[in-house]
Amino acid sequence: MEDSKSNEGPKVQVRFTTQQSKYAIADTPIMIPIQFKKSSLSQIINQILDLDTFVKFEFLIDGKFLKGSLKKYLADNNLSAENQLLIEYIEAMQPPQSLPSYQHDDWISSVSICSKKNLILTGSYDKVGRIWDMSGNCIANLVGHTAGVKTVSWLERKDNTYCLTGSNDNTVRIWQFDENTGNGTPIFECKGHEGTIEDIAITKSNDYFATASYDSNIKIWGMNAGLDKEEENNDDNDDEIESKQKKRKISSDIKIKNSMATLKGHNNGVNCLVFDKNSYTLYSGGNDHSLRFWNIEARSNTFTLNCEKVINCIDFSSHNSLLATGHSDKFIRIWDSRIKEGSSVKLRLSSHNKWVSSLKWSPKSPYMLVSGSYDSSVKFWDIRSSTSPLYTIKGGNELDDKVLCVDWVHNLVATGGSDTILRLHSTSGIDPQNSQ
Amino acid sequence: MTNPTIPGVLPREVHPEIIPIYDSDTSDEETENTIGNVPLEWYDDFPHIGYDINGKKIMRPAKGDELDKFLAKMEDPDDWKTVEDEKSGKKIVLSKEELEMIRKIQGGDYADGYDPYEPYVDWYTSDVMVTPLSAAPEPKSRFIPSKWEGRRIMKIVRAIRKGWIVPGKKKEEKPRFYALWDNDDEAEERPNHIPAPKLPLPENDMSYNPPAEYLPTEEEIEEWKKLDPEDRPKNYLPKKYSSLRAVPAYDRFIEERFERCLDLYLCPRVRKNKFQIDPESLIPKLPDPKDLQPFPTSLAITYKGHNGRVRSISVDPTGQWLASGSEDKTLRIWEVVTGRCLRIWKMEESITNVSWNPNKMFSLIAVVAGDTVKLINPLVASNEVQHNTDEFLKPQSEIEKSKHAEWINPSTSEAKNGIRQVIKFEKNVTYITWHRRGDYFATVSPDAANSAVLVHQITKRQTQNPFKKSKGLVQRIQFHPSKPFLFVATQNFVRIYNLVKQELIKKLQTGVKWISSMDIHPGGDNLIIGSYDKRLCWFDLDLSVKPYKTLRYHKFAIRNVCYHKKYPLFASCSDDGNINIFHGMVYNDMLQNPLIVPVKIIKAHEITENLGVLNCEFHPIQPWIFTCGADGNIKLFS
Repeated sequence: MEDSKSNEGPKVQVRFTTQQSKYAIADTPIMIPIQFKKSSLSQIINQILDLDTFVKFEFLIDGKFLKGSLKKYLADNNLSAENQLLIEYIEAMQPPQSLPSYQHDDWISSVSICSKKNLILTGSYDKVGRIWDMSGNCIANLVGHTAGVKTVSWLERKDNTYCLTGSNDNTVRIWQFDENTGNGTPIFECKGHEGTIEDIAITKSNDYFATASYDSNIKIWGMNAGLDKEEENNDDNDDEIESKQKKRKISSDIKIKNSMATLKGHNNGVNCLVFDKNSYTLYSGGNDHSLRFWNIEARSNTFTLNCEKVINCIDFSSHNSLLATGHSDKFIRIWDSRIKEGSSVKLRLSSHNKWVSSLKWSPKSPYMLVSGSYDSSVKFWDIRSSTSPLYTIKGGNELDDKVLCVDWVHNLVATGGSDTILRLHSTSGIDPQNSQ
Repeated sequence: MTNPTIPGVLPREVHPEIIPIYDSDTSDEETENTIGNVPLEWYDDFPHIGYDINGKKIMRPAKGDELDKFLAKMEDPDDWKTVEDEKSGKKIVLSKEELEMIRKIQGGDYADGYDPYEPYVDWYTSDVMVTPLSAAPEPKSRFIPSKWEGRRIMKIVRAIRKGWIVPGKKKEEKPRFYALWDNDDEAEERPNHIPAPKLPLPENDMSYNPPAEYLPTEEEIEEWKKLDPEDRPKNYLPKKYSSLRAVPAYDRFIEERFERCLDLYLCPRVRKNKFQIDPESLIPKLPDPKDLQPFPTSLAITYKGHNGRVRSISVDPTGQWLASGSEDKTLRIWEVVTGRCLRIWKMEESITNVSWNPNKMFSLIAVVAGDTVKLINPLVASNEVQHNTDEFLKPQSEIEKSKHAEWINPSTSEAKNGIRQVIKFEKNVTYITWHRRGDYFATVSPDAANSAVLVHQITKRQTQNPFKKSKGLVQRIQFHPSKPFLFVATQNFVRIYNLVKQELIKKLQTGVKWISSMDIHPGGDNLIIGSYDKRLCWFDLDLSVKPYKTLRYHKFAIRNVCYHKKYPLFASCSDDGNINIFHGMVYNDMLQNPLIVPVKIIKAHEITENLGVLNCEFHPIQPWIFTCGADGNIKLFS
């Protein structure tokens, strides 16, 4: 290293570490000129490891990505060149790879990827939920809603696979998906909400799910055997409602389901909700600018955080217990769900030009998330570098196209929006753990 | 006359000695006769000629006859110099001096012996005389110090003490040789001196031999000649001469001198006092807009789909749906947060106004297209609300016919589409507004003279005409948000009527030429109007019938003004394509005036055919604003 050409000028002592065992090197301090940038540092690691093919690395000091030279880092943090720096390096991520996209007839309002079966469920404003396989075939149409489908979700249980679709007609439908025939049969219609269904959240255990509605209520619905009891009620309900509305063709097969519980507290429409990893807590955000924590057992609102803007979407990261929310003011806010005093906004990610409509944490990395916005872009973020996104990919054909939904399961990111195209991206290059 | 004469000294004039005898001199003699200044002829017939001091008659002196007189004359040698004093009747013999005087007067000479041609005597010569002219002792004043000098010295002493005069101060020594005309500053030191404007220095292109780049090309010369002399940037053309000898006589000399004289003559010779006031200090102190957040700032969603000007928009009371009516004759329902168009109705005529029923129990839109108003259930609300709405508007068989408006039940196909009631008017309707409870609504059809304003009740299917007489061209009407008042805006005035007592409460004098729009603060005590002459007026109804504030921020006519129902915001939209957002805080304290702060100007729509933003409305819950424009777009700003 000392032989290298540009080693004049001040140097700083550096120790390299990594968590990727295949790139591990001996933990010995090295003197490095302070004007070195990450490309030069990558070369050093490559030289030490003596790799066949050149591997690009990213460098982290104190949990922050190194941008620019070491000198700039030292200057920004008021450190002298005599400090020893501990630099963690990870393999640089590859940009997400674009996969074939699926054309829809109408705006795609929601997307959900089935983690086990590699199936994609989309909800669309043409009132139909669709199930796609990975080769681009639409294998099932879930027809029955009387208004556009706003939110969809997979619910996998041991016995069966269900699809949940929430719609602007204020109902949630539960469809049983038969893998062999590829048919979706509606089995339940969940009635009770007075407003449009905005979001569905499912617990890890898949025992019950929660729905957020514009009527400012959250309802919890069970999937267990307790259903039978509720089915009995459906006759009275049916009469009432059916009299008001046209009788549906398939309504004879559908049973009406009532909710287990209603969580009241929001002053205005609820836009999004998510369960935490052990399903005891539900987080919800809404038009009343509040982020509410609900205890499921007690069915009570345990804590409320106020934020200045409408919360459009929320996701919970099971790796680090962080909540990410997308707002109607271009920002993504990262909250620490454990801190209950003071300002719990940990980070504010800003790069979108318009409202953030949807976001999802990476299923693998505790640092990464993907967000879709009305500015027709989908951005990948690493919260260790909050100033700019890692990658920005197209989410629509034109600038006016809105990205309405994103999902990220395994290495697959699906986005849909007002350009009626379901776009898929492979993120195998993004996750560093993947290459271990 | 025989005085000894001193050489060079004129002899003193000697007057004759006064001989102290009777009638030698009459100067101190008292007049005996006391008759005063009356003519003596008056006494001609009397023996006396007057009275003496004691009042006794003075008898006329005896006069002899002419012969006696003559004889006496002959005898008297002094007769020729004897005159008669008429008053006393006595004879006076003139003396020698008196005769001399008479002779001098007759000769036109000085009477009293003055000699105008006396030889000049230089009394105060430098010749020192042996004896002084005057032996008077020196006066006292010569030995005591002068009072006036003392005062003057004290003045100087005081000036020195105060530092006005510095004694012993050395004069600034001028160098022996210096440029005489060098120092122009000296002139400026004089107070109120305004120097004459200086002649501009000659430029490079004024040279007889300017560098090539200063020489104009042929086209430039042509262009210069085409211009009027006043419009020319320079009043000469640069020219090149081979040598100074070749330069001709300067033909513009007189013209140039004349212009210089004009310059000097027209130069202002009065120093104008400029106000040295910091302009910042004149601006009233308003809070920083940053502290007044939230308010709409940036474009969030564009609702695209209309093919014509979007005339009117309305947000449903829950803030989830947006209705828009356009000149392409369609009514559209949009989902607010996604910008998705959910439903389209086609009308027969272009839509001028849409208004969502403010009651949350119903989901009902009133649509104005031409001379018909349609009440439409947009079929987007929850079942219960839709059911309520349909019950509310259940077709009634017996409909009372009104002469002003005809209530028509919809046809089955219309009913399927959600149209629940059709009301036909005589004249075109321009504006519709709901009462807060959602049962009453009022319409404006300005052409319909005295039935311009009609109030309708849905439950009874009834139309009422509240005004017998038309008070002008009605522009807008609105119900008070809590009291039974109706606000009617005509071209120049806003009248407030009490609907219960059926009387006029107030007449607001707007001072604008043509009111375009009006909105009432949700508190009910404040009102804003917008006008086609660019003004926005805020009225405090408790304060006065004149505007509390008039704002002129728009370049073109204001199309609409609106208040936010929850936040202290109001906005105006105009044909210049902008919407202006204001912070308008109304305090509960009656003494405190509303605070109005302009916070944001948003360029919202493109100007198409001189029309910009046609309507704006705030979201009922969020600090967002919807605008619709002549470019066929609807936009949401958050």
